[in-house]
Amino acid sequence: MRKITFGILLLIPIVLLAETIIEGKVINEKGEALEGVNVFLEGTLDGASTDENGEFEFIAEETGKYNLLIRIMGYREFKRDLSLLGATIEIEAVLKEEMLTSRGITVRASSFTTGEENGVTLTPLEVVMTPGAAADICWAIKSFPGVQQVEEGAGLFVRGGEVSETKFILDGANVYHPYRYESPTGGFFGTFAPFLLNGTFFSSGGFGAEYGNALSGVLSMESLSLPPERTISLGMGLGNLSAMGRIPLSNNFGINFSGNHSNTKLLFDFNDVEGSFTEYPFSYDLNLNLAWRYSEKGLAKAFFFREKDNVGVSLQDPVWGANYHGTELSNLYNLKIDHAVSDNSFLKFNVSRTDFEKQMEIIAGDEYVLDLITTDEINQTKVMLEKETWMFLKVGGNLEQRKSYFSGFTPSEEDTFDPSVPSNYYDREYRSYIGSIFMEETSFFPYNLSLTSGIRFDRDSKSSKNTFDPRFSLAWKAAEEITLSLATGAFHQFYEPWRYDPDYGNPDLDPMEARHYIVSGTWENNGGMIRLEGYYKDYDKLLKEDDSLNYISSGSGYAKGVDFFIKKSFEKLEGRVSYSYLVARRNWEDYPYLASPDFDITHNLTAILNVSPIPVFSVGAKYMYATGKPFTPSGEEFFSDRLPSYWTLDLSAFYLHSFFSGNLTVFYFSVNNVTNRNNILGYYNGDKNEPIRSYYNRLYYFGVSFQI
Amino acid sequence: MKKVLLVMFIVFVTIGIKAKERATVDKHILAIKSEQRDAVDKGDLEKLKEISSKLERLSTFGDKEWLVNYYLALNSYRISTIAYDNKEMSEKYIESAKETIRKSIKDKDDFVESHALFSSILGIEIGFKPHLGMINGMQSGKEIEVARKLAPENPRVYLIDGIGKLYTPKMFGGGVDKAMELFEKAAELFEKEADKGIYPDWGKDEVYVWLGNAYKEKKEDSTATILYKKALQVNPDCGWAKDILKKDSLKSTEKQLPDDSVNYK
Repeated sequence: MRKITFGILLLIPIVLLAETIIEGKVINEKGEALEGVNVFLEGTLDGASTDENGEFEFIAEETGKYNLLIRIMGYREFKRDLSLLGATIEIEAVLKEEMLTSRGITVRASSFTTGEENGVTLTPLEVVMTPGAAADICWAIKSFPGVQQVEEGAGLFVRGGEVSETKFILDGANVYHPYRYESPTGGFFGTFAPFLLNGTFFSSGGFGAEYGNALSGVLSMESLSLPPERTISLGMGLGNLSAMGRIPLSNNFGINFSGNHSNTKLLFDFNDVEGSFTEYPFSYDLNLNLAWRYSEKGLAKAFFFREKDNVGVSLQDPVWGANYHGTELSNLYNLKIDHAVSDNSFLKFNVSRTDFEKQMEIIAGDEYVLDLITTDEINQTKVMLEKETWMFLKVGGNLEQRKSYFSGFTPSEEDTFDPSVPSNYYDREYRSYIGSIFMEETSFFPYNLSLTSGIRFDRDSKSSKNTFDPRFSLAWKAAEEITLSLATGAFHQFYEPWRYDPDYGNPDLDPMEARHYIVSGTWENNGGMIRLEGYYKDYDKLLKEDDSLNYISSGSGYAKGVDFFIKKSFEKLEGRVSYSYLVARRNWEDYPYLASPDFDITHNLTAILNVSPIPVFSVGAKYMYATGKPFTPSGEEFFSDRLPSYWTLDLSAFYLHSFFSGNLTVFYFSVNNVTNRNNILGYYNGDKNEPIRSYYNRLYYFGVSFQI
Repeated sequence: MKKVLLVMFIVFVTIGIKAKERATVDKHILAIKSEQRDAVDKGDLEKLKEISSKLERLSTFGDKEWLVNYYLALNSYRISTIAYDNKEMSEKYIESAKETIRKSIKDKDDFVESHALFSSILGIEIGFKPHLGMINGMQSGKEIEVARKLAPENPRVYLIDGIGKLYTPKMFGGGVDKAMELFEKAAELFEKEADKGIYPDWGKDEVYVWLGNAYKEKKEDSTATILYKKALQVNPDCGWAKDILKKDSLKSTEKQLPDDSVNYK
């Protein structure tokens, strides 16, 4: 026994002294040798860099089990377990480009991401610096291709889709009322200010299986995370007051908060806007956002938001002289947890509640023609697991409860404010559930190909209908700077619960359907980007009015078009141009036949140029042109004419200054519609002699934001 | 008893290993710091690249990763500034510096040196992407303020702030005079700064080169020359000061040549 022990002891130094030679070659997926790659044993300095042939060789003085790491910028880390026992080890490593995988972004047709981390197109500051965008995310998104200028508001009409076909999401929570001062074309502004957000993802089609109940587009927003340092800013503009703060309370816990108050009277009076307001648009919002990094593995965020707005407007109805008054109040509460389950998998969970109340009144003379309170309550929870191995996998589910309540009355005939017309009275509550599950995987293949395939299943309790949406996206990185992609898929959207009411709707309505076919090419280099996309969208089962059943699902239509985007910066200039060509046809609602809907805007062009001659000063201009929208001239065929084309030129300027240490003060000044063009938004009763003109003649706005 | 001894043995060995790791990382940092200084003095890009690889390896030791990442960011920053004329390479390294310093700050957000370096990295990035001027300018200012709050008497904070001010027009709170004030304050603080062991203490010589550059900007060439020489006094190997003095002396020789100097061959 003693002999054996002695023998073992003798062996130890031999093993300890053994040197292992590690040699090999590092190439990329195209088979090209990679030079300057760092090849080493984890936790040691033993290693080498590859030469111009991608080859390396080094002697490891260690023995035992070690991880070999191979690292170079722009590629995914290569890791392999090695047993170092004194022999020569040969390694051939193929590195995968980082762009396609671990950054979590898959190249996908039709999407733009914003926010500093992904840095592709817009940061919150860039939203603010988009001329004519009034520091509004939706207005800024409208300067991208695929979004048509239909009204002068924030409504996102995407590629021949109606405004309600674009879905808004915040930290995983569905946002059903994303606009302020809601109107049939969306609303005047987006609900969330850009500085409440870390970043934004916008897709104008072909989006992944994670997103459901949307036919045309998705705008997904992510709220602020842990505040890096304490900042408090106060802002004051023409008719606007705001405060915002970010306070880290410890290394792992922080608060972000903001408050905004806006009363447009000052703005409109200053600019002599001859609006027909009986009560100037007025709003406030409050936001509190707590972020807690409860361990190295996870972050929890609690987001509270409240917004209230009011507006009163004369409907300029020559006969009845009716006035409209509206009040909206919305609250959003969301808890989101991102937790790393392991090195390569992530669990995302959120639970949210939204309530929204809207009160609408139309008064003709002294009599109420319409008085309606709509209440919506949405409770939702979503769980998603993301796992990254040789493929990228997303699996998840979503459950949503929706309650709507209507109380009040409306005229029984459309388009009239005649108080003698009898009223329809409502006092109804509706409730529905939508349950969804989805799965999506992205695999990466040689020759820089990646394929994303997903499937989504939804069930709506109100209509008892199920939908299956398969979706595919194929991307090919044809060259260093060029990516080509194809995307196709089925998309469904259920109606709001009241549409299934047998008295006002139809319990048997099918969900609306769309299929997208997209071809896309992107060239990207050093902050420059060119993208050209062609698409075809096939719509089916759209809502169609019916004499006996109120509505049926027999509407259909299509949209096809080309989107072009170019963005480039030269020294102190930064410019981007978006152009969209669209042909949209629908036979839905009360259309007598297949016709151009009023959101069929043939040409839409936006050009933006920002110049920053010195780092603290920037001036920008935006030109926007849109074909006039279709309308029905009085006594003529349905949607047989178009309004004159719409265009504006907007300017804005920013100047940054520091009055004392730690202070940042931003002065801004903007002029919308510089040329004072009197755009026509429609005609009363289709009569060309009675145009409805834009409120916006030349409009000046200025303000200051001061950081304490 | 045997068990107790065994447990004690394991505990001691574990503690010993941890202590050894720490000592090893510290030892390597010290060695790399000196190699880095030499390579910067010589403008030796190959050596600096080699140091980057070493630091990357050291970052896997599981100790003081934030400090190793600081030096890795500093190394990329040095490569970027030395290779400034090679736009592609310089830009690549400044991007890498940005990414690494962010990592370092994420792991330890109260280390003054990282905030100061981050501020300078953001400034350099503007050179490549002028459209980022406004965003980076803002953030760079914030970072230097954070650094100043963390350590009001750190000479590198003043040096980096001064470099930023030198490239900011006067009307926006920058300018030569402002920069000179900051460089002078930095120089004063550098004189008091002792060797900081494994922690950063670079800049003692550079501050005089920057101050010299500022004087040159004010057309006070003779003062500038004195300052470049001062930099060499502080660090006789300071390659940057040597280079400038060499170029300046060549220029002055050209000036002294007679008018028909073109005919001299």
